[in-house]
Amino acid sequence: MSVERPADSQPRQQGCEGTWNSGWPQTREEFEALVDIVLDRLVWYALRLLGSVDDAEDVIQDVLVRVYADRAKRKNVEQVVPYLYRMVANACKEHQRRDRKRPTAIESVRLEEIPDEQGGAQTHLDVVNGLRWVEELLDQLPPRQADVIRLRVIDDLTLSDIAHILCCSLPTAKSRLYYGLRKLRQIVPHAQEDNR
Amino acid sequence: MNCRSFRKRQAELFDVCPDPATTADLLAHAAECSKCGQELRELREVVSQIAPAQRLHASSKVKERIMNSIDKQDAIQLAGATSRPRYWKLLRVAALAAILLMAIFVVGRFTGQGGSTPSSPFAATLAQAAEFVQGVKTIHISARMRTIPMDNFDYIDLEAPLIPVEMWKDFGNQSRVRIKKQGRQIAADGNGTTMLVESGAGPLVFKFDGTAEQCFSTLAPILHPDTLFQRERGAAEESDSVVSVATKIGSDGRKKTILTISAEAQGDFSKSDYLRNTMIIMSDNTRIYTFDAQTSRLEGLQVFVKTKEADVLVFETTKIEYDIPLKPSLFRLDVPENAILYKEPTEMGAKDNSWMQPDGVAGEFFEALRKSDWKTAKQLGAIWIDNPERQRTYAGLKVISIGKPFQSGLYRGWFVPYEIKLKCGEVKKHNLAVRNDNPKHQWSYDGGF
Repeated sequence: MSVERPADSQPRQQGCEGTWNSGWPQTREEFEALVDIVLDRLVWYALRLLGSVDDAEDVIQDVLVRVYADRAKRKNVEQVVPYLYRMVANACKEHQRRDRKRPTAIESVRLEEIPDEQGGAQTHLDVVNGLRWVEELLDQLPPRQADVIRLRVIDDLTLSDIAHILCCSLPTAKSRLYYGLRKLRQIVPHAQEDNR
Repeated sequence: MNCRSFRKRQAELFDVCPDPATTADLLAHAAECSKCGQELRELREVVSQIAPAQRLHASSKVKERIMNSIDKQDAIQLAGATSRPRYWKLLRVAALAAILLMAIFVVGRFTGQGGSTPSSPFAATLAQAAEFVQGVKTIHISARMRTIPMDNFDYIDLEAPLIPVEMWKDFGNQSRVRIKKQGRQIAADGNGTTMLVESGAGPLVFKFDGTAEQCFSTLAPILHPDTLFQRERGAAEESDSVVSVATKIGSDGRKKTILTISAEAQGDFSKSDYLRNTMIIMSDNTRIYTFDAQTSRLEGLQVFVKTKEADVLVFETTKIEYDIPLKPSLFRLDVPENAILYKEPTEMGAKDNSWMQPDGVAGEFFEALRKSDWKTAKQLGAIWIDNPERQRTYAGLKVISIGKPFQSGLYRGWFVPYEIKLKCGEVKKHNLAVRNDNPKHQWSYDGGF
């Protein structure tokens, strides 16, 4: 993994340009286009679930290879991106079950595990430590609200996609985001003080 | 818009691409209502606090690995669908695609330090196969190999047709082996090995102590699924192989693990390419193992050799049977009475020639044939000359030229270019193989005539 530095410090809004509106990829070219759009986001998501960069990349590789292998079977799937996230979530669970690992969360990422490609290993670690801090905050929220916030703010998914991933209605997803952020508002100032 | 509907819809402002009209309505209310405006600012502040300022993205190799995997999937499916002989050309296309794509998309490269950690798919696949074979008693492999009948078991010829090769192994106490192809067979009964070659001069018999795996080193790995991992790992490390593991559903509906190893030719070809592509190990090759994913049982192997023009299937199993009864007599060869028993030159009273150079040995060899000195010719290793028809053919030959000796690939002997004219007028131009890699460094003929 390497670090991508946004031009500004605001949360990215990558979905505006980088959404996948086509159906399930049926050709190599379509598949590659999908990979270009979702790869980073899926690896990031798997990293959040598995806590290991290597494991995250391995799981995503397996999932995306399956996406192509099963393309005929899934050609009628309409919500491709949410489907991918569900596949990744299931694959991460399976990975943890197979390895008899407890969910390790972000804290298990070690400095030496992160290849120093572009941003430097220390910067990687800073990113991972930031995620750990956010996880500690979200752990204080009701899980359903925390899930929506993770998918929206950390994983940069649209509310529509989030609703599909979590199998809830769009208004429910909006409601969970709103009330989750309100609760978080009460926690963040204290957490910032603790963090200092 | 009132405060209640603002609160209800405020989350839409935090969507990835909020609808402009909705945004305008909500922001207009937030501007008018200080309470709602304050809440919006605070929630935005929370989001900016927890949103990652920097993101990790996948390492550059991940996409390559993915695309490589799917390309090989395609190639394997195509190869599987076109493996019938009449579709041979299509199979070549599939193989070409597979190997070219592997050259482009590097999956994982073996080095001494990394790549094949015990938990890697490569290690796991072969280790499981090794575990499976612990309980196997016998194996019978039917295969096809692009080779010349009679020639050694390791030899491949890209222009030759695929000919059947049969292999049996008994994993019992004495580890017995039998391999058979047209014109050549070998049997090891645990104590010794006998090889029978139907040469033009009649049957030749070679006897060795123990199991002479040097006579079938190319085929040995699949006869030893228990050591396949170590062998392939060692070979992979030496040749800086590219390895990938994929899964697919086979024609029987079962999940298969496909292990693909793409290796470069081993040996020194800086002086000559003469031996390139004459053995799998001395060719740029791709080995595709198919295992049953559930049982880890080896179900197939295909080997392709990459050339500039095409990628050529040189070996493929057509059937693998486990635990079938094998009679002890299978591992003993019936040697014909007229067979010529091969003896080492020193056993035939050859004079010490370790001081000679390869071209000098070639000169002596041709001189022996010219003078009909069959004893010397045999002492130099040409035991096939013990045949009246051959003696008539080669007696009186004339040497036109003997060139500069050279070496190629992994072969430890030398090649001496020559041009001779036989009594019948036929001119023969080739490379004579001579070697002295024995304890006494005694030179002898090793082929090329």
